[in-house]
Amino acid sequence: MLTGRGWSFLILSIMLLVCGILLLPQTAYFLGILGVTLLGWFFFEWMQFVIRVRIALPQLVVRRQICIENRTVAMVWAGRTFIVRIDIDAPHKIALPYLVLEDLIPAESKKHDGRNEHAIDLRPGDELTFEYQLECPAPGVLRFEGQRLQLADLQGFFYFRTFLRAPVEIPVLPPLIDADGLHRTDKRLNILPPPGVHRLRGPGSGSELLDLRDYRPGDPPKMIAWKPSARKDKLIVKEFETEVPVRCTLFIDTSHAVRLGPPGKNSLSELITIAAAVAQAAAANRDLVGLTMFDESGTQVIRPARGSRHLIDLLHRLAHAASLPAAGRSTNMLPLARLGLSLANEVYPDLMRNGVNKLPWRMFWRPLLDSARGWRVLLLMAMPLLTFWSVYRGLLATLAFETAPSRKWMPPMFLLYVILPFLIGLFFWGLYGIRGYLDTTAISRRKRLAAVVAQTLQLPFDAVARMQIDDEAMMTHLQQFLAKHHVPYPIALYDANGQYQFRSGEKVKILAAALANAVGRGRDNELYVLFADLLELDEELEPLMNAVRMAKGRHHQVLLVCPWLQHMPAPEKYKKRDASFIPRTEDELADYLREEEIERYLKAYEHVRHEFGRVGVTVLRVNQGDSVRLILDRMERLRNVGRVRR
Amino acid sequence: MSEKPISIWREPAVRNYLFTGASALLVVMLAHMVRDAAIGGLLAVLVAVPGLVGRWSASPILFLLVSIFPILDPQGMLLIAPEYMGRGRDPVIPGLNTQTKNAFDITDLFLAAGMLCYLIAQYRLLSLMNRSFPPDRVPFHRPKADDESPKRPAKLVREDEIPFALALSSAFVLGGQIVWLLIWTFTGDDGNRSMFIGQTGAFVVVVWGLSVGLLISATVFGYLSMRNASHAEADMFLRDGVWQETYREQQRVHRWRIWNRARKGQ
Repeated sequence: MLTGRGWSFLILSIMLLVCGILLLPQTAYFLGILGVTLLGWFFFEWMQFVIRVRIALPQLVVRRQICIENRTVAMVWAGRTFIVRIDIDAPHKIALPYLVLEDLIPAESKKHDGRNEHAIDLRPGDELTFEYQLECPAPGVLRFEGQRLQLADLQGFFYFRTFLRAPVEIPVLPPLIDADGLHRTDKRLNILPPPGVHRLRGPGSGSELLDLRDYRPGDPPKMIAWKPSARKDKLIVKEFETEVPVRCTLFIDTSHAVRLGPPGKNSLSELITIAAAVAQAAAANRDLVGLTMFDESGTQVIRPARGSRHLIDLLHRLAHAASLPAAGRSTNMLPLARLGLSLANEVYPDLMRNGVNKLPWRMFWRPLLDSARGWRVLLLMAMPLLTFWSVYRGLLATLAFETAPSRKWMPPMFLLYVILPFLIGLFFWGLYGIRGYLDTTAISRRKRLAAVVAQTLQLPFDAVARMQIDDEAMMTHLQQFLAKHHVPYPIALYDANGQYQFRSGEKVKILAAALANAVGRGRDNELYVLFADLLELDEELEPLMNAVRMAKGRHHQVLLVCPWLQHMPAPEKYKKRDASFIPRTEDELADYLREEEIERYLKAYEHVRHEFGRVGVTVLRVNQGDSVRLILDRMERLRNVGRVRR
Repeated sequence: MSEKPISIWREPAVRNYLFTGASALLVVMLAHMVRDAAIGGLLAVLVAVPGLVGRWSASPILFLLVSIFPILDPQGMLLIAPEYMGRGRDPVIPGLNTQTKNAFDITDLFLAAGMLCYLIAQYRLLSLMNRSFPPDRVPFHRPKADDESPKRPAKLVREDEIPFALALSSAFVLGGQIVWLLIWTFTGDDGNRSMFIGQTGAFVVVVWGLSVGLLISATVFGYLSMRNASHAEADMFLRDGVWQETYREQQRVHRWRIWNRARKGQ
């Protein structure tokens, strides 16, 4: 709480007072008077400050509102700006003459206008408001942690930092698109069915004539075709085509492999942006849109439906999916611990302080018996017990006899030899235990961080002790802690054995099962769009290929949209390197390895294209032209399938 | 925090504090002159002026240190003739012994008030112009907006701040004088009425008073802190209690679990 300025002033005041009292009371009364005056003033300022910190600050009320066009909203749209309004109420009767309040901006957002940090003078009963403008470029979830408060006195003697935690998560829905603009504008057929439906060649209640047949008892009289009946001299009835809606089901890969990368800039974000555009365009056309999100562990299904409520629900699910964090087994705890400590110090300063998160001195002692080799020292310390064995006793007596300078030194020497192993063991015991005190900083930080993580994630009571010694548990919980606060953290792509951690054949099986299930529930020709990262999964693709064949066999349309790494060139733009090139320098070697990586990636893509092409599935990349338009075009084709077949 | 750099002559609040500090220095200078310590006083003022004008943060501390000298040796005789230091109980050099034996002197009051006023003005000026509190560590988990020194904006200075500071300093000087008189009344040379006599007695009384004051304040504020604890703090307190009681046993259990996991992994 005391700043450097405060400490220097306090020490000098005490020095003056002590001088005044002890050294020169007769010749310099003034020093004492000055010392008492300065200390009294300092004590008064401290009292004032502590009252502000302990009483006034906890009563401070800060509210946050998210506004778009002066209306408070519960969600925002990607790519559109919105206003964050902060209201501060001071219900207490104590003034806060100098308070710095900073509303923490979510990492995913971008500040446009206004300031999120203000120095204020808060008087009793004051109500203050400030605003700033934010924009979130990508869909996801914005997490507002709360406000950072910094309180200081007017002289700069005291300083207190705290955090008003008021976590709020605001979904950022994918950007609204102009659905009409995405449809093709050229007229392909003279008679277009109404939006949202397409004709199916089967008897139904549509408007297009399908066939004529003989009258069967029970047919409604209005269906009788009178002219053909008169010609054939028997009752003939008309059969019309059936009219069914177009259904589109989007399958979105939300596995950890596509979540890799900073939020808003990873593959998942790209997939979701395209999926959201397709969903909005289809909904604008009154087509039914369904959603299936899958990862390594399971699926989440929203059945195809239409309507604005359904669309909003869909966009909400997509926004939440976009904010899913990647998780993998980390191999290096240091970067995670640094991030975690920084976050804990900023957002949980109240839980990091000594009052509730103590560091007793005994915790630094390293217990020898907990180590694997502790028993050796214990054995050494137990050696004096061997004195009861006559042979050993005789050995020690001989040693004492030979080493003692005179006869009277023999008993003490004998005693020394008896207890010497115990003393040596005791020395090692102490040496081992005291080593913990050599690096108290790292141990203290880990304990405090573990305690905050355990409290935040509401882990069991033994979690702190576990995280103190178990690196794996610490890294897992730190990842959860950072993910909860939307802090990006480094993830090792390869495990300790050098294997790529995010290669998951399991998700292909789950996708295949979900597709087969959707085909089983499908009524007529439907469109299935697979947004999935299937590159380099050559051997595991078979179940999915079977499901795709089944879908195609039932006249459904299937499209595959692959995510594409940003630093990878498009296949059509890539020029193959010279095969005879041999790297000679370090830079050339780096280039060579990069080229190798690109070629491997492109090869995997070509393989997937080839495999799916064989069963009649178009494969697209997310960055390939206008993939949304292509998908909508495919839906249009479905809508006109009846007309095309005629 | 991205306030425009304050021009010392344009901001009224800064100007007011500057004039207050300068006036206080004038009072200090005059008081030193009355105490026949004009040179020492001038030296102290010279040390203080760069702090007021040039934002020199060491100025108030140096001012206090330099001010001690003319108080102890108004005519600078120790500087002129240091060989007389420590000769007997009564210094033979005239001037060293010219201080009043009385614990109350009106000049002392003015001098103390001037010094306190200057310190208040100087420290507040430093808060306005240099830095009001130490900068935070740069967080790793998010980009820092700017690394500007946190200054108190001049617009936050209230109109009644300086009059209140002047009144406060007068009150504290009077209070200091009263406390000092009380201390020496109860523990002075003729203080046979008290069990604490002389310098040691005064020292014990002051230390005891400060300790009791701190103890009571710490208890009251500690209680308030516990009473106003949030749910998370209370939860943390309980968790920490459990940890303190059982962490050795828990760690032992978990070591075995790690061993078991490693064995299975192999």
